[in-house]
Amino acid sequence: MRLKFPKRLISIISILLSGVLLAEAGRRLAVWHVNHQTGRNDLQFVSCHHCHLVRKEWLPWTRKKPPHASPADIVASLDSRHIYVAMHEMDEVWEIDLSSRQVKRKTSVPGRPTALALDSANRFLYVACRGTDRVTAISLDTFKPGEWAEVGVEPVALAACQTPSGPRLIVANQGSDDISVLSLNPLREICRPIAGRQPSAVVCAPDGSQAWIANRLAIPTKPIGYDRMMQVHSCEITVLEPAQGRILRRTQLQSAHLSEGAAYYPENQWALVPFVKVQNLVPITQVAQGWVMSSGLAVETAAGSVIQIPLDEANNYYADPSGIAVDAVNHRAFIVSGGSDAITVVDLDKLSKWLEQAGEQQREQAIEDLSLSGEYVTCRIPTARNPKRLALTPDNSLLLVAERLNDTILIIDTRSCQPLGRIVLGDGGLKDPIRRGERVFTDARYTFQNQFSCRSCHPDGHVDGLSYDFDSDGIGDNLVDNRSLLGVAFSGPFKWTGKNPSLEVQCGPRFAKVLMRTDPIPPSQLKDLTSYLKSLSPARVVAQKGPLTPAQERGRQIFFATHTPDGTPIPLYNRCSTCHRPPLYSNRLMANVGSRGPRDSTDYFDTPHLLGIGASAPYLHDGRAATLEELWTVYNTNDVHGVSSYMNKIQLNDLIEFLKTL
Amino acid sequence: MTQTPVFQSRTKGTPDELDKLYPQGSRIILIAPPYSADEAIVLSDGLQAAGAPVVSWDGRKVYFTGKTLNAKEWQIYEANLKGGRPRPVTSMPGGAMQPAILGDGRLIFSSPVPSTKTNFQSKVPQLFVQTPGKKPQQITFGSMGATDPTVLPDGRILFVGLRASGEGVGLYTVNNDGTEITAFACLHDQPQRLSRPRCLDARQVGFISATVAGQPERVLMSRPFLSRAKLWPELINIRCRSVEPDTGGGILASITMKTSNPASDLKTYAIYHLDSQTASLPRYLFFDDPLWHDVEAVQLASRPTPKGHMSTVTPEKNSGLILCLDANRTDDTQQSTPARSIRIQTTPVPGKNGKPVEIRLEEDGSFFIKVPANQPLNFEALDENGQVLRRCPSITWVRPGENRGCIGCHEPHNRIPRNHRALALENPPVEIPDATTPPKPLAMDER
Repeated sequence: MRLKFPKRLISIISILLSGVLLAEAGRRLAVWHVNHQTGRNDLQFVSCHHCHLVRKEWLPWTRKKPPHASPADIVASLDSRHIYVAMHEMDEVWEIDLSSRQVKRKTSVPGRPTALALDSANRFLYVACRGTDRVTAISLDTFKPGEWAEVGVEPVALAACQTPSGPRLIVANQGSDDISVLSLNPLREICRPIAGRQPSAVVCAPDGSQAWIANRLAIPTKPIGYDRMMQVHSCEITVLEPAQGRILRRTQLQSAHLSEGAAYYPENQWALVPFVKVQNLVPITQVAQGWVMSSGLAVETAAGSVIQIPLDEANNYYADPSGIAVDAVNHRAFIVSGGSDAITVVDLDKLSKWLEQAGEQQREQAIEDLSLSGEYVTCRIPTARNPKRLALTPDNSLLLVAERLNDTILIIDTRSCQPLGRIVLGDGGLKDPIRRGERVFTDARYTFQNQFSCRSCHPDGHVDGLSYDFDSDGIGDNLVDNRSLLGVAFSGPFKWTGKNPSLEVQCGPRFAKVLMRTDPIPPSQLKDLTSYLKSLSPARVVAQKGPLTPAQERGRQIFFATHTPDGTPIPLYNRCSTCHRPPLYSNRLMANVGSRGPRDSTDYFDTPHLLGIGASAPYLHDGRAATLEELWTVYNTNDVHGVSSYMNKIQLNDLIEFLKTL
Repeated sequence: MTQTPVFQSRTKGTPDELDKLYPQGSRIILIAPPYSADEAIVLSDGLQAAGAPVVSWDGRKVYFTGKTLNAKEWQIYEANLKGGRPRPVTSMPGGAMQPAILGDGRLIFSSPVPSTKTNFQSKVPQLFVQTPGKKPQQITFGSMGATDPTVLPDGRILFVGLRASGEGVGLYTVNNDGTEITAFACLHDQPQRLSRPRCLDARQVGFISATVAGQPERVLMSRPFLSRAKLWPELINIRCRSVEPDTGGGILASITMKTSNPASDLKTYAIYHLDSQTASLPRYLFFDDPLWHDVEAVQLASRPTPKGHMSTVTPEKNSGLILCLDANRTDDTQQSTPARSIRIQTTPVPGKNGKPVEIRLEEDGSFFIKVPANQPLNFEALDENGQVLRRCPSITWVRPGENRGCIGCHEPHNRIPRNHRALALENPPVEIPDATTPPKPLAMDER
């Protein structure tokens, strides 16, 4: 008996078969295309968007963000009646009357005004503009910007003082790792000595004899070698003499970093610098007992010795300490904790007493004792979101706190340490998901006992320059370099192993289990967090100028070269531009660049994007390369990570100059 | 609150520890403003005895320990807030007591209930966590007893560690999955009979320095090992059964007092509302029914939910890792010679110890071991000649897949680790054998 199949069924089967055959043909074509374009034959199907369909103008960070009335810095007038506020997102500086709490005057200061300093005569207000690499002087009479001077890259802090050689302005240039010393009248740069890494705060002694510059990031203590990242780091307090800009000393804070504030206590001639003590070499098996990090205060004495004391408690932490102000009359220091929304009040007399009776070993080990802060911390004052900078009125009666992500300034009565009210600058920006996301990013309450926030390891979304040992991939194994979040949009997958396909997965429940050790970030807040991360634009290490310099252009040609200078073809798989393909300068694929170390369990690592790479030291998956130069001079002697053996020193420098422009 | 009879009748059968606390007739009542004894609703209707009420964080559920007329064992019950019979939520062999509630609503309790002739050798009370409707999971495994759990705002469980004699070894914390057992306070203090620890506010943990009634004391969260003191030093000649926080920042305390005026002596326990920081005199008498001892008053209201904790337990694994950064970092100020090795032994069952393993310390004092999960671990620090310098009793364990770090050995409390890469990490962990696993038979070529 002959079976008859319905015609419709036959056509359906034919269509399905054709589809399967077409899909398979398409897959094979895609695999051939990828292998042909990369010169690699180990890749299977790769989604088109790894190399195509990404345009720079589509990236969220290229779009203008809505500005918020966020206060970046505050100074009080000499008569304690006014305050001046740097509104960095609005490109303005505001003058506010303290008694009425009303804005009296505003002036436009383009270029992200970030820090303020008043001259001693109360005639000019000096503004550091982070976006334009300038310091601008505002006349307090007219409240208009007047003369300006170019300084280093990304000035973020400044302080004024009077010296025997005349008035000086000391400026911390975070992007270029140096300090601008300016004379006033006229405003001009005298010199630019080298600082530590990312200078972030400045304070001058009242007599102008010394200035202390706190540097945020750690510097490698051992320059070369695989075990470089296993050495204890330190960050620097640069001390200079303001009159001539001469460096007096470079004090090292052992096993400390993220110093973002500085103050001077004349009674004891102490320089006070808050910092974070991070235990990056200890496997992160837990968070309790200050296992990952804790906050402290460095006391540099007149003799030049440094004692580190804890600010945290045994069962609660005050993450991301930054601004500090000293009430010299009542012998107190106020330190803000941006991650825990609090101000810690330290009784400097009690601290002094404790230090006097403590033996040498006790002083050395003071920072390790989480129960010690009870000896000198008198109270903690709660604030609104992300207090960052603070200022005391010259009569010491009021403490003013810039609540950066709340768009307010908190006013505190220093006698009672009680809040008196707030100056409302804006609406808080809670309708903006990027602003909401930044609040999540800087909030330590998402971690166990508020020990740290996302920002604690990624200050301003960037790197902290350290390598870490997460226990989830083996204790003591697979150390990983901290990666920058700047320019991270569209650059997935994430983690050096490429395991996490999206930011939502990267920051989701797994992260809560491995690092936060508490509940995962709730879904709506996770969404806001990823919006914020995608809005972060790449770091900048060079001054914003016009076209590429000759050295940068030569470097660009080396980067995109298909042949060495003698005409030898560079294999497709080994060209810089194959794996580091514009616009992200990454094809976001796993690659073997010969960087596997003795404690690694894989040869393949995610190809990082190169945007802002000049500011992201150290390098390679475990951070063993301290500089870009070391990538090729120390760790690529066999031409596995691109062909570099032909390059002489000048060519290598040119390549690095180009990379710094990305 | 719990009300216990003023005149106690003899308990049938062999009394246990809870029979002393909650003799026959003890009951749980619910009172609403104006807090009149006549309008009390009995929540433990039908039970022979009941006590230790706790309220869920949303203020909607009440759990307590109770015993029916015919049952020999105490179990945990959920109250019917509209009145009526409570329903049992546990059926633990040996009984269950002292419930507490995690932020996600899961129940914690201690089991079994010790007898008055405390014999911890046979069955040490441990903590269990139970999801409603599911089987309870044991989360503590030390040789000391784990009782009186409460939940801290950071999500950890705070409990009293007990010796076999019933004396407390101190206050400990553990995560809700049994990981990170850590000393919290009062380890080396006297007197050592502690009970009913409670987080009174963000600053302090209160407790009773006795197993039944004694002095209310506190430790500060900021420095728990250095701050043990009387909660209200001004109050003298009082005996206290319980302290509980209220949502207004005060404390509900069950107190009986002696004053210079015998006419005003309280013969029974009553509930007072006091300030959390000072009390020259009781602020006000909150509730007193002279026919009963009024104890364990807990406010029926919602409170801030404690944080959670993503479990790091991997049930498929049967071991965990311990890294000690420096065994010579110790609070033993008498130590004159450094330790050169550590001897480790598992004690899965009392009286049946595992084979001790001695490990040489690295130059920096570190060691790295892989140990069987869910078994108490004994540690002894030995000098160059093998003499024991100090011992850590078997109060520590790891959970399956747990990675645990220690700062030292008998480490000083509340210290952060020193930032360095331990030398012990250069080699794989030394494996400590599981005493409960029979040894593998030798292969032919090994015989």
